[in-house]
Amino acid sequence: MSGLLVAVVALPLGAALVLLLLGRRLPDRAAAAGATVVAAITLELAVWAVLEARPWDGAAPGLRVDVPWIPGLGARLHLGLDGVSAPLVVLTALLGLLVCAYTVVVVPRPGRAPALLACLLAVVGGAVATFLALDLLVFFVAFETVLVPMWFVVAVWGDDADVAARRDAAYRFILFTALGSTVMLLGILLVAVRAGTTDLVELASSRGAGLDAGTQVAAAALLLTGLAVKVPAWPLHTWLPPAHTIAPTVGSVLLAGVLLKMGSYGIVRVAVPVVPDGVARLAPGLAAVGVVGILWGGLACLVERDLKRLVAFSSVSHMGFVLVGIASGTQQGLQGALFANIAHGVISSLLFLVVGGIKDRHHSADLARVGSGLRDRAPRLGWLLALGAVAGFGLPGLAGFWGELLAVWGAWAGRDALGAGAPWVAALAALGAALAAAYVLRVLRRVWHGPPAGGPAVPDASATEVAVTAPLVALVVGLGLMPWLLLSLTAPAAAALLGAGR
Amino acid sequence: MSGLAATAVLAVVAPALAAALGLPAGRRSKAAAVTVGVAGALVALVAAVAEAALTWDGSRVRTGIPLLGTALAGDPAAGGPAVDLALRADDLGGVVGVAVGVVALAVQVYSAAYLHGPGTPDAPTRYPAYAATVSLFTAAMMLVVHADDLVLLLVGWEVMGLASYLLVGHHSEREAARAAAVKAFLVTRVGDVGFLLGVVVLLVGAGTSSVTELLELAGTGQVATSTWTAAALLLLAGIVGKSAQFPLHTWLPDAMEGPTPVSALIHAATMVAAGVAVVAKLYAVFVAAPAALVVLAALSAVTMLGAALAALAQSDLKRLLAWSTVSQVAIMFAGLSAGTAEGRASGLAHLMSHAAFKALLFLAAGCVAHLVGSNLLRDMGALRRTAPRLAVTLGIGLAALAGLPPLNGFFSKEAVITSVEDVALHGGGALDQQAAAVLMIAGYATTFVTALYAARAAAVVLLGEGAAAHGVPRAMEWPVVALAVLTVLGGALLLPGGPALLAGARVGLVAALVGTLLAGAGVAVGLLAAARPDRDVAAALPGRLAAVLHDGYRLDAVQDAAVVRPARALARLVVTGDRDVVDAYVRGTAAASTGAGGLLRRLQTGVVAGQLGWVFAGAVGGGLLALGLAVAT
Repeated sequence: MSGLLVAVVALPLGAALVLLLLGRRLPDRAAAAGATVVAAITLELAVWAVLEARPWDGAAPGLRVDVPWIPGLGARLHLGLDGVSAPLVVLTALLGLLVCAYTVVVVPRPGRAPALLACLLAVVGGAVATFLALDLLVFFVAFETVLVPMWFVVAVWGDDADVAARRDAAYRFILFTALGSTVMLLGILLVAVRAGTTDLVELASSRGAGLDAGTQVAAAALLLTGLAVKVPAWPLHTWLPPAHTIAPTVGSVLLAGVLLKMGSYGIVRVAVPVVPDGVARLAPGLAAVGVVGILWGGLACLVERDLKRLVAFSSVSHMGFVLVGIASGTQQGLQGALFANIAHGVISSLLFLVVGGIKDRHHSADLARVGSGLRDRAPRLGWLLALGAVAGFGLPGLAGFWGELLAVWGAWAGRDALGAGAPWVAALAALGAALAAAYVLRVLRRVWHGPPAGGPAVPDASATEVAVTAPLVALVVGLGLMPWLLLSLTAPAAAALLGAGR
Repeated sequence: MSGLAATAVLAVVAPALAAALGLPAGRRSKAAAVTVGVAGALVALVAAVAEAALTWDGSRVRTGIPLLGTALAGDPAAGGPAVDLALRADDLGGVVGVAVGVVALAVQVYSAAYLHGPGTPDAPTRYPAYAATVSLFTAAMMLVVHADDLVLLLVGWEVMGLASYLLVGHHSEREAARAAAVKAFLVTRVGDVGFLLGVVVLLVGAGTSSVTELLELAGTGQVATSTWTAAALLLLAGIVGKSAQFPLHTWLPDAMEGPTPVSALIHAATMVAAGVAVVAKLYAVFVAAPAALVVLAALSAVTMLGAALAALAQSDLKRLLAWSTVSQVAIMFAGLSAGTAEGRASGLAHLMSHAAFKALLFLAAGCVAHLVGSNLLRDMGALRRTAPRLAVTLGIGLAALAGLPPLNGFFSKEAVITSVEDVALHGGGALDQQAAAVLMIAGYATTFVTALYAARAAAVVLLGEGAAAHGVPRAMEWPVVALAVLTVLGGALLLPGGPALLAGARVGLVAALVGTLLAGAGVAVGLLAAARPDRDVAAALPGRLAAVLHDGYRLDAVQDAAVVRPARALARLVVTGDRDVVDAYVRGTAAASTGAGGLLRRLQTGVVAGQLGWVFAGAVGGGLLALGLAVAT
């Protein structure tokens, strides 16, 4: 059954290649329908693989592929599915399906759906490979695979109202992430050369034994800095708001739901178990960065006028909770980080679909231009916005809550890692949750509440929009009410990452 | 599942289902929405009655009733920390659940008539959404009183906040309603930061968030007092917010922007009562933290008297009732803060009394507003002539508020004062004796002021000259009459044979006599003013004082200056910082890279290739550099 892992990577990448080769010979609709089928099969394979791997039973990857890749370098194609990767693989495949299905109906300018779909599928394939990689080189290559197609999505299909802004956003995206990758590569090479292996299972099981303190701190600093760009952590976040503002809806969904997760996943997979002492030394700094991000993003949202930028800044805030959870060095913190990762992917994807729909209808995402009374003007769209928004501030009973609770819990319990500052980290993070309510209610007050704004009537959410958002709505509510669904999936692997199973 | 367990599950799940089904049902017809809402409340009420009956003598408790599974925070193999999202069926859940069910049912029935037709342009009915939200509100409150785990309790706690936001802002066409909705949620949410941290402190310090386990641990001394104190104080922040106590009470008077039945719901048995229920639920934890009890006593002393004085100066009947809620909930907390079994029972008894008479008062006030088309006191009068039956029920409610015997408010309030007095005079409670003395004096003073403003309302609304008017719809009248009956008979809960939950509450002779005298004096002064042309005793207050009281001591301005404006200023600073500081080095890099890209572009064709080329060159260069570094070291 290990072939499943190869298939789940190869299928979307292969389909992307085919779409590129067929290019303009395919009509848009047919290409989108085909891509949707491919994405659906990918999702099915991903779910099947998770069911085969049974990550809730134990920490070891339930499915593995380990074959020689570049013999000259000693690199091996080592893939595996465990509790940390399983939810992300499924989420990525699901979002891939949703964006492909969305493209059947909505093709952003300048059209050319086959090329767009090829990029989307390539992002999905690359991301899945990243989440499965158990070898540092494979991880790096997969990580980089995602970059270029995503850049195309922003640069070619981005909002063309302001060409200079689009250029700037695309530039920023590529500059930041490529620079981050380079720094990460330095860290990877340092580990590889010093430890003599690039195999993540081996590295994780030796828990940094063989790496002296200086190397660990240096490698941890390089890895964390490089990956923090992708997360993005404050103050390396300034590429995200423009990228989200410009990216088409499908791009924003993948950006928020998949790309950002690669950063946080990388920290959990590559930094935490490989250089544990180094990460522990830097944990207070990481927690501080996380807390500043939570508050910084929240405060920015209080005055931000553009809905897409607002969701982007809220992402900075939410990913701050992920960083705090990881930095706490506790099981509950790490569990919270993994949960928050998924919850943010689901919630922000929902929000970007809704906000993208709002922007398409009003030709602007500016709060003032969109105007008030959405709940009467477009009730279904309004309720979707309201649900995503309240999930976004971590309403208990919806998916956003559990990650925040566990991260705050972890931080309070994390005296070992965070020292005397631990309660402060917890308190400030909790304050960020109140701040989130403030900015969310500000948006609802101006857009959702109020008398129906004048101007041309806008259509309510279409059947496609309802269908595409339905799985996300189900996940937001389902994970909120039954957090054990996800927590028991990640628990064994999370414990093992912290060395509890030693 | 035993019968007892099933009652708790049903009490929570039935209104939750009604909330989920309410919107789809409402698409069919309003009647369907009404049916679903009423059915949800009715089933919840029946379940709570059954639960109360089964636990009547207080001996039966079912804990750990599975609801949403167990959330693993750690490694299952190593027995890592976990949160069991389970329910608990006990006498507290049963008795308070009955109050919740009664008020919810009354509100659902009443609303069907109150929110009739399509509504007006600035207040469209939106009935399905409204009824579903009321059901959600009910479910959330039932979850709070039935949760066996503080994290699960927090779910109900915050969902209730969301429901209050939706209901207060139901007629969001009005700016005042939008502002009040946001305020109601945010003020309570700020307090909830403390609540969340309190739960976390217990999870870390006591190793559990299970109510049952915490109650067992609280008496044993296995957990440090500092943990109990820290947790209790932090929880108190959320409780003070939700229960609208000083200094987080400012949202409640504004919350009357919601439809009137919503006020009945928020003020009588949900939301503000939730804080009282939580303190009662975790009583052993609060008793183990005397410092928290002193804080609670101090806050309730300030709140009960301050809010009663503010109520005296209101010009709007609903606002008057809102301030009276703030004051009355403080009386409940006064009982709880005594730190004795008697105090807990008396605080809960007052919760029950208040649920009946405050729901009565708000629903009756809605009828009055329906008749005169205004909520302002100066537009009202002569109700005993225009609508005699309504006048009787409103009079009963105001008399219960004033604490006149033999109505329910009299018994429970005097029971609270008795329990505080016992601690003040004889000690024996977890509360400091001097604090209890202060609290007792505040309680007596509040008794007088409360009677005064209740009598003022009666004089202004009931008395005066006028002609009979058209009636109010049956669906609006019946719930009011039913609540009036409960208000008259409610004192019987404290008689022998009543629920064990309230059995400790006792009305002392001194408290009864002094309380009756003070209340009588207040009523007399208030009614004497009926001889004035405006029948209003508050008109005798000095103008400036009346204005300050009317505006609730202008705490809104303080809140604005101390929290809202600094937060906005900080936000603007952050945006400026994001653009001019954090992003400045980025733009610098971009300028440099454009130069580098320009060089590369000469080697490549096309813009795209040029940019990508730079990227790859950078990556490769960086990689080579790294290799070199690694080899060199």
